[in-house]
Amino acid sequence: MTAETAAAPTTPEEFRRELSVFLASHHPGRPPKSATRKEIADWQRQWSATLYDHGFAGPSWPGAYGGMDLDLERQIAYYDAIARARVPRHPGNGPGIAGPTIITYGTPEQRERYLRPMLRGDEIWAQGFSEPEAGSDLPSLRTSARRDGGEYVVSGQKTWSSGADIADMMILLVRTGTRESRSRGITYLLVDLASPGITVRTIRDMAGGEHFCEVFFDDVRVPVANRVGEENGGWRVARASLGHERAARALSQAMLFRRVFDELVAVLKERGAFRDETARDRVAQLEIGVRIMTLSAQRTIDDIRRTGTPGAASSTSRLYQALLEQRLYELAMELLGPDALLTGKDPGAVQRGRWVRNYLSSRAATIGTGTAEIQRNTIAENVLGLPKEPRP
Amino acid sequence: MDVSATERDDLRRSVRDFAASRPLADAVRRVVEGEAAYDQAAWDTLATTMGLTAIGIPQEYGGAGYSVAELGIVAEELGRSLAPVPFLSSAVLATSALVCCADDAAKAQYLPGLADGGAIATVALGGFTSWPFPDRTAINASATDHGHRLAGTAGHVLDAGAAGLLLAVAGLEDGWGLFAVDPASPRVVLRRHEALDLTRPLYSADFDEAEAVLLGRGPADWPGLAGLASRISAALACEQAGGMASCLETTVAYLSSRAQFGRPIGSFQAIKHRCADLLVELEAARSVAYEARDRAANGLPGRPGVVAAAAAAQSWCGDAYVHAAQEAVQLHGAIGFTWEHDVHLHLRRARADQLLFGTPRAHRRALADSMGI
Repeated sequence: MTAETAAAPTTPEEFRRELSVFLASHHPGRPPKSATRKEIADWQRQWSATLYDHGFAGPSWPGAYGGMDLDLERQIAYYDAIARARVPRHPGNGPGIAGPTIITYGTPEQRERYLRPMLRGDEIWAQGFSEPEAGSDLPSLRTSARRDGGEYVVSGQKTWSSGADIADMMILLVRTGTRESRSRGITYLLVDLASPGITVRTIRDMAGGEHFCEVFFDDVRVPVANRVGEENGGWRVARASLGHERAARALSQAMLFRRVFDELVAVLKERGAFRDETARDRVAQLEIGVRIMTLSAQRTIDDIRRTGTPGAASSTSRLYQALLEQRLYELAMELLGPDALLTGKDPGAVQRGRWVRNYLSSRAATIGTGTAEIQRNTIAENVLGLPKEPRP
Repeated sequence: MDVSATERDDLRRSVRDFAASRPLADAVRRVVEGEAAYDQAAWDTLATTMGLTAIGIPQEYGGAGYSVAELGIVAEELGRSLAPVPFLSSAVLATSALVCCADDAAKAQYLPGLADGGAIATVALGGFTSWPFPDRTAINASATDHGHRLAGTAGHVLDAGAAGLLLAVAGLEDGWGLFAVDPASPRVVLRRHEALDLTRPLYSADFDEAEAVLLGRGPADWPGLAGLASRISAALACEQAGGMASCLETTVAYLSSRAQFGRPIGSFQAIKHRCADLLVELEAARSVAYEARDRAANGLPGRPGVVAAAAAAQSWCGDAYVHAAQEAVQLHGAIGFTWEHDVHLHLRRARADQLLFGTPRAHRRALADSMGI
């Protein structure tokens, strides 16, 4: 039993109620109208700080770094309450990706310096992995780091870095080995985005959003003390962080999907869509999909608790989730019919255009953080053990 | 009874070893070729040596006192092998019918025999037009001076040729009843169908005013009957997940050894991606089947949560097993289309499972009802 549960012997139900009361009384309301990305991020930061200051941040993080260290039942209750409360998301990739990596592979100094400000939203984190010439083939990345005394000197370009424009820090993969060294010559760095020599430019995506960024590094100096793991040992660290991303996100995503799906059912019901037996069938089918998402996430967490590893269900849950997200919004478009055509800028849009906006955004679900095709390769080779593609 | 994770792992392992054994594979073929209706030796091992028929039966009636949770584990592992034994009919259907629907005296009379495997029973459910309740018009019971008589037809009765006891769910004036019928009675006519699934013989049963003993009764929305349906759905979903796993494993092994164009065909992405998609569906099937199994084990029969979980599992697993079997045939190429290869036996089983106990669409209708849409 963890210190947290020993100190607060509440049942998961009591915990959920306590959290719900807190969320209701501290809810920050709707995001500021016609705000800039930075203003939205500041609004999110404030909420992260509120959570942290009241002991409601980092459900799976250790207490030593300001987390809640919750058991499985309470994590489920936590994510469920958060998803239903419609509170702001934590800005950036810190608590889900960078944090667990630093907790596992970081030095004591790095943990002391970065974890609490990360969890509180005082410092927002972005991820610098993909490059223009290194997308699915990430081990071919070229952004280089040359050792110069107690510093690395970083040069190159990253892309598809979500939220780098509003972030303070970045987890960065750089080449320290020869160009041919592939995954054996990659190093994992923590980079202050205010460092001289860094330029960030946003990319407009097909849904009209601007959270993807290109990040240029021109002789940027990064202290060697900011390296996570060994020099040339960054690939292993990065792969582990992708694993954390999966495990931590599966459950909260599932809870979020449940809420969004229930809202879709409500709007369809209101509009009389279920007079059509086919619509009922399609929605029931998706209900099963949403159930499976939660159940698989629970299985994964049970496996982690029981055996220390995520187990079989986790290997497929990310691909399953991505496909389900697309199915959900495809179905929304189909069943809303022509009314789904008006976007958020049109006063006649259904629910401020959320369904059409998310329909467009959901096309990224099978592209970002590894395309569906790459995920299928990984599942086939690493889980099923099918023979690797011969290298040309 | 509390069952530890280790006990469950042990149970799973022992059934898996049995399911993979050589004699069982030979037995499958004997039944496929019509030499037997089921395999007596395999049944004896399963019932007497391994005690698997006692799994779902309370201890007070001679059972092992486990729950549907453990029954599901056995069904899942047996599903890998297409074992030609009346496990589903006797240890799942008939046993569950007695556990869920019979009164205590009837349980005491029939369950001990089913527990030790000495007796084999099956259930005439008479088709499902409105899952989870059987077709009301299929079989009806009328009271006589001595008991009841059944009239009607059950078109789909599994393993009736192996059973010494036929249980029937029949309509009464004011609800439902569970009845025991002697399949050897001259007023019961069993006819073996030439059916799709070659490893689980299918019969029709005609009841011509057949004498029947009432074992339990309930109203039109009988929770006992809903509980029975949930147990069937859950155990069947587990069996389907096991069948899927077998299809995928066999296929991956074949793709890793079969070479064309100078390399194993499993190294081609076009092939790999289809296998990855099957694993996605299989893991989903496990998640939803385990949930249905554990809900049926722990929830109250007929409660919305139990019913919805069962419906979700049957809809998903019914479709997914069919898909896995069809893909297995395709990915084996020409060899998969031969009579000798076992992969078509899975396809046959998968389709039969999908259509016999409420179609996926019927289960989704039940789920939609429970969602209030």
